[in-house]
Amino acid sequence: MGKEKTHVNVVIIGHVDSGKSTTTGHLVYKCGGVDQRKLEKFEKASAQVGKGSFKFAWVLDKLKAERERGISIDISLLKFNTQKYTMTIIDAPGHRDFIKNMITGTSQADAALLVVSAAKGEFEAGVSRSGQTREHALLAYTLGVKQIIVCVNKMDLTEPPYSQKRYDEVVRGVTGFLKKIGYDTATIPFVPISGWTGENMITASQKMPWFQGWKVRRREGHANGKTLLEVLDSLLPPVRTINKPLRLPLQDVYKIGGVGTVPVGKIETGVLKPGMTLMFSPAKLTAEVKSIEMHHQGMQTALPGHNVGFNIKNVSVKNLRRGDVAGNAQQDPPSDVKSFEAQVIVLNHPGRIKVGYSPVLDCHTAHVTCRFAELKEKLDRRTGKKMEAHPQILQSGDAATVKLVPIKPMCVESFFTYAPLGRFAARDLKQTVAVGVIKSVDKDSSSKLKAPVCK
Amino acid sequence: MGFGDLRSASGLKVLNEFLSDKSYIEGFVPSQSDVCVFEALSAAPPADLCHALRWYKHISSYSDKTRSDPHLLPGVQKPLGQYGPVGVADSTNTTPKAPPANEEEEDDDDLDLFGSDEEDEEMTRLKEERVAAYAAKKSKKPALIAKSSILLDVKPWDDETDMKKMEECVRSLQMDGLVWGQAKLVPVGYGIKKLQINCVVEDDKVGTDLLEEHITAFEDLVQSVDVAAFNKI
Repeated sequence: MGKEKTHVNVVIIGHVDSGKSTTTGHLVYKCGGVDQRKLEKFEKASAQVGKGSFKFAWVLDKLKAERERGISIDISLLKFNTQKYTMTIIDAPGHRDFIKNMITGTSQADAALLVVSAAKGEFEAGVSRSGQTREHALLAYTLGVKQIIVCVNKMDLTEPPYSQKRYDEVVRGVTGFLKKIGYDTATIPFVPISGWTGENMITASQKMPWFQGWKVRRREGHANGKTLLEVLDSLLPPVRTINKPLRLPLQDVYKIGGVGTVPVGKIETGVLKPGMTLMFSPAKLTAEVKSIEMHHQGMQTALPGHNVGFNIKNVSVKNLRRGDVAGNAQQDPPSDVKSFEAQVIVLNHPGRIKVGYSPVLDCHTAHVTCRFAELKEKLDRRTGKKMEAHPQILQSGDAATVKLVPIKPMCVESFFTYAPLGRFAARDLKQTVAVGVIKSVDKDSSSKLKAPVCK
Repeated sequence: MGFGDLRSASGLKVLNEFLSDKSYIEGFVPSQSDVCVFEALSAAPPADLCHALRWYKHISSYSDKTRSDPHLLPGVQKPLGQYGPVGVADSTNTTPKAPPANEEEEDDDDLDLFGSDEEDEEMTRLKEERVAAYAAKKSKKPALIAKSSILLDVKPWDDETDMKKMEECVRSLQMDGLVWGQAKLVPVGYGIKKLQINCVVEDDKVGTDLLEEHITAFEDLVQSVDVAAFNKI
């Protein structure tokens, strides 16, 4: 088997009319993300109906219609290859449940691609208060997606077409608000493109001679180039978290005849090997790993990102459940928390949040009601600076540091040490009312002592 | 946005409602936005509109000089159409320019994540014109129904769960705005398979919570549901 390319997840964000889908479609189409046979079929059909010159748009439309019918599973996963990476694209929908999914979902974004339209009026509408651009960018930043790329799209629709003046104006606007959110704008590449005609997507465009190319200045090394594809190739690969202690939140627990108890989950950090003694929290028990399987195949070492099932000794299915976290009993074992301090952003709360408010928190696979025990300070969203100590209430749009207390045992970690276990969405009234990252946890020290050791 | 005609009873009513859960027109301190709306009123609101009257009295407590000084009351005055509840246009005839008439595609989200930006009047005016032109253009386009493609992982209890029956049960769920797509079984390990099923939903009608709730209701067959992929169509 050849060496597999590193996998990178990119979430595409932008206003409804920014041309996200066309841009995504173009990339997937041109970079081998669409089944070749299907493509040929469509291309032939397009020639037959005399749409030769609009072939690309026509094919995209067909693919969209196909997706709408939900016929093919493969087509619903937008994948393609660059020189260095296998990319999966998440075309962010405006759906109200998407944000929660972005936080707790199985595929975490490693980078964000912000698409803004340069067309007259569209840029202004996209970044206006009611546009989605700012909200998405702010969420991406808050949730730790620190790599961002900006595409200034629809350059073919500026007045006059491919106007440098308009491009500069848009770049200034976007730089301004990304800086306010907290991004270091020196590390952000800007590319003028047209997802429709393909300018600067895969190959450098002749129509914008004024474009000198994009540049990225960062500690890990500089990069530059001209096209969007090159930018994607210059992304820093997701940080390998092999060296950290093991964290594996359980999705399901099975009882298999002749085998025994089999928990299944995705490894977030560290490695899992047969023979290892695991500690489960908040179940508060330990067990030895007998074997590991992924896609029905045995494994000797499972790494971060692997979705694995493993067989453990002497533990009944009843004692484990979804939301429990497995870790190495010998190396920083997980433990449940008495309380934790988090930085939250209130998103859609219809009223006011006061001390005592208790929404359900979704954090990794856990789903636990938590109480706002203390509103510590209100923060300026732009700078993170303290604005008010011990505020009485929090409203939509506010950022704050708060102390949360789970009403039943729960294992979470600080975002800094184990990022996937340190971000959450607070849900109430079927809405995501707040998102947050955990700054510090107060571990329940009694949990380790009580743990019975099963051998 | 806007309050309708602030010189009429209906406009004042909108203002009253708007202020029923807010202290100020914008933010948490008095600012030029309050002055702007204040100046558009011809007189104090009637006593039955208590929220508007409370606010009016408060703003009128500042002297004219204080009100006109942006250092004391910060911010930049914008056209009336920029304030107030989303979905109501401004029609007070004191405003020099017509506000953007149609902003309905923007009213899904009136979240103000950044507070007021400090921009000079010229920029603001230019932007507004462009947004208005965009809104006008948009309103002519047929409204697209936003849809998402969701790939669900439905997990059984053990290796003996009848996966065929599970798929039947899942597909038996019918909702307005929901279309089931293709499904396949994906091996997990130790003989367990999960059902991976594709569906297309209309964003405003079907949520992942709802799907999860309904699918996990087949509790004899289903242990849990996870979202494997979630994309815009």
